[in-house]
Amino acid sequence: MASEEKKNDTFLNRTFGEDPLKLNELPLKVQPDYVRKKGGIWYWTGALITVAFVYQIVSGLLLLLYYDPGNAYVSTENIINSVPYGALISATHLYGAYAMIVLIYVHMFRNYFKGAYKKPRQIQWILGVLLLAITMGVGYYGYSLPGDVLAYDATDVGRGIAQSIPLLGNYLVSMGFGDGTTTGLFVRALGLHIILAAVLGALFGLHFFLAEANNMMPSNREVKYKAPAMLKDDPLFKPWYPYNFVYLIQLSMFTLGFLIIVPSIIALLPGVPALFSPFPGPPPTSPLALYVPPYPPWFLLPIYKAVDFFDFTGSFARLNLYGPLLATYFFAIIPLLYFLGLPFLDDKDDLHPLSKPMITSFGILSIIYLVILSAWGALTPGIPIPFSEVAIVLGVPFVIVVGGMFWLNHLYKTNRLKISVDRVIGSFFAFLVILVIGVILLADNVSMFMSHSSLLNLVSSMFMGGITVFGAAGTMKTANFVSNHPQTRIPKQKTYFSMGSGTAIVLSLLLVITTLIITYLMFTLNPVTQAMMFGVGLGLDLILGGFLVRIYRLVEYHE
Amino acid sequence: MVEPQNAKPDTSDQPSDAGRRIFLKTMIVVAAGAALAGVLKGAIGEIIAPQVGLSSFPTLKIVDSSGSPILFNDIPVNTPTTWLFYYPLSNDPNFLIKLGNSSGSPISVGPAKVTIPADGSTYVFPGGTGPEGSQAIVSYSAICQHLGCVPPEIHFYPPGQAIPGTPYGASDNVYGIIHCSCHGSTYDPKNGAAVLTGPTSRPLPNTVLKYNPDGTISALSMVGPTIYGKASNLTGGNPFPKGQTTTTVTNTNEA
Repeated sequence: MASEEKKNDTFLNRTFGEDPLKLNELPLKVQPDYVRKKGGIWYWTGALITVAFVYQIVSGLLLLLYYDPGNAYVSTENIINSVPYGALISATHLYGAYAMIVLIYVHMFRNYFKGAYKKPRQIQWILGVLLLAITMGVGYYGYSLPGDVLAYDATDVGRGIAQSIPLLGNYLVSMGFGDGTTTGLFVRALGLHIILAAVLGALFGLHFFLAEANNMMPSNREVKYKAPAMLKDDPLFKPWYPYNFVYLIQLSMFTLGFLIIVPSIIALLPGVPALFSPFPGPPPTSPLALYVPPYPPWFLLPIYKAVDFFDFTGSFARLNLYGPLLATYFFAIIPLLYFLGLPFLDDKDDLHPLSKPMITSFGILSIIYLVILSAWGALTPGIPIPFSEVAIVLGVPFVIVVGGMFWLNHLYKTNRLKISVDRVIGSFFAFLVILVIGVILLADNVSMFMSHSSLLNLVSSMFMGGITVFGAAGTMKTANFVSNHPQTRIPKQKTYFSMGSGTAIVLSLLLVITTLIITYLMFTLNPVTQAMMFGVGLGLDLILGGFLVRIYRLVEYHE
Repeated sequence: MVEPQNAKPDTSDQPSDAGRRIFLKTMIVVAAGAALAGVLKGAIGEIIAPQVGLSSFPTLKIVDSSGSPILFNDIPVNTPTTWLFYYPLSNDPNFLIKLGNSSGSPISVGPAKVTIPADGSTYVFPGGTGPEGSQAIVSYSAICQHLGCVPPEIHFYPPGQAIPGTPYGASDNVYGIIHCSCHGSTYDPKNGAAVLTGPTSRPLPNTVLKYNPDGTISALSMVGPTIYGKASNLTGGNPFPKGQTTTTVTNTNEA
């Protein structure tokens, strides 16, 4: 212990004490070591969202210095073309929102399948679903702010959906989109973007407070798949500072690094499709607008595609007025209510996904439908889909997933299935990928066959149908195969490669020299025209910094 | 402090009377509810933006960007170039189209009864504008009634042009068709912009024009459905300060 004391006897520690920020006295819970080891990242998905959210606040406030709702498009172009580093900040602000949404889905579905919505975390779950909905709202208004053709398409569609709501329509339009003038629209969009972000921050505070109070959900095996799943306090748990603190710094650097480097690289690539372009499209009245498909933001593609399912003809044509409203109702409101009400729908204390086939099926189907509808919307924007095709594309996964889940549930109940939760979920995701590809291609071929019935289209439809069936059957086989091999995985201590002092010092030095060279090069770039190049460098700096923290933790904490 | 040996147990926080407690709690909830109702009324009232606009349709003369009036003869027949002017408010774009037959001569557009598929109701489209016998100019709101797409996404296809993605080939397009490329709605400009194909369930609102003896054109009013996305045709935008509205000419692809 003498060497331990000597090691901590640094100037900083003598001056400020061991935990100068008193982080260990904050009401932050401590966890077992495995949250900081391989696979432990799953316990930090909420932290990753928080890092992205903080980045959004900072970058958004910087953009606020230059954005002018009275000249939405011109001021956005000005930020991108004239403000130093403006292009980088606006592009990363857009991608930060994308990252938040993707991470929220990951966070949500992980907790869905783990049963984290059960007692004592019901309110935490409900707040989380609300946070997803509000994030979508913030994203929608943010996406509308540049005033390009995509922004106008998005606000016009939103206005139409709001107005088609009986009785309240005109009030909602006025609340959501202002007095009808162009300036009124962008003032309102900017105001609601910020107001909703503030609401998001407030509800996030509650969500975070509950997450700390309930602490993380321990491995389901530890609690024998029974709620309430509470982590037992253990005096051996390492303190929050420095272990979690340093790990969080590492995660933040990686998250910010990727968040900055991805849009920077995409901005430098030629021919990025409109859906993923980090920059605005042409203004709505420009002749170029004709070549931009009327896309919504990609995270609303599922609802957007669903609008095409409600294309009524003949005596039902009058219902077309409500098409967008019906799409929103069936593909947004009902799923939202389902996720909000989940703690009430499933209040039993069983945590195993196989013990609740309907709930698990709905989770898997939600992911499949999100992927299918997004891809469909991106490939065939605004093209009406006949009801029979919708029924095939959405019905086939439904039958396969629900049927498969009940079969697995039967095996589970009769104790003939001895596989881990991870494997079941994993095999279903493999199945998902094949199924999604199969179904999309099948739908494409079937619609081709319906419009131009040729033998070739019929044969390819059958072939794609075969792939879909294969994807389903293969997964069943996989699950069966796994069940024949009793799971022997023990929560064994994962061993880590250790690193000698010399290696660590040399490697760290090399990384630091690299970051210094990158930073020097970044300072030589033009702040206006080469902002995205600067972003590549900044992203690399952060990622290399993350690796440096990783090496520090490995050598100093043996983690 | 020394506790008195024979002090009575402190019962001040015991519910001595459950009924009284429930009553008092109910009173608090009712008062809080009343205050909350006031807060909601104020907050929601504030969020609903006051409508700006007019109380009646203005009569506005259509002029070009330099301020000189647009004459009947200035507008080309069957042009694939989009001519727009703003009416009744400064952010409501309208097509200005001079219809003609396939050989390019102006036609006289008569009145027509137009059905709104959304509710089955009908209204009368008063027909085109122009000198006697050549009432070839029609005007419609240039915002698609389906989901609000504006030019160039919605635009006029002159006679003889096939319309991609619809059943209308070159030979089906006799007097021109208005088509929105966002979701494929088509409208018939010769018959009051009635719905030809969905997904729209409402015709384009018709802007009623007047041909003045000096060859100029004025916009008088609107008939048909309400302009897309608006509570009424007269609200939701800033009025024009002067008695004239301005045209802009937008180029569209001619393919």
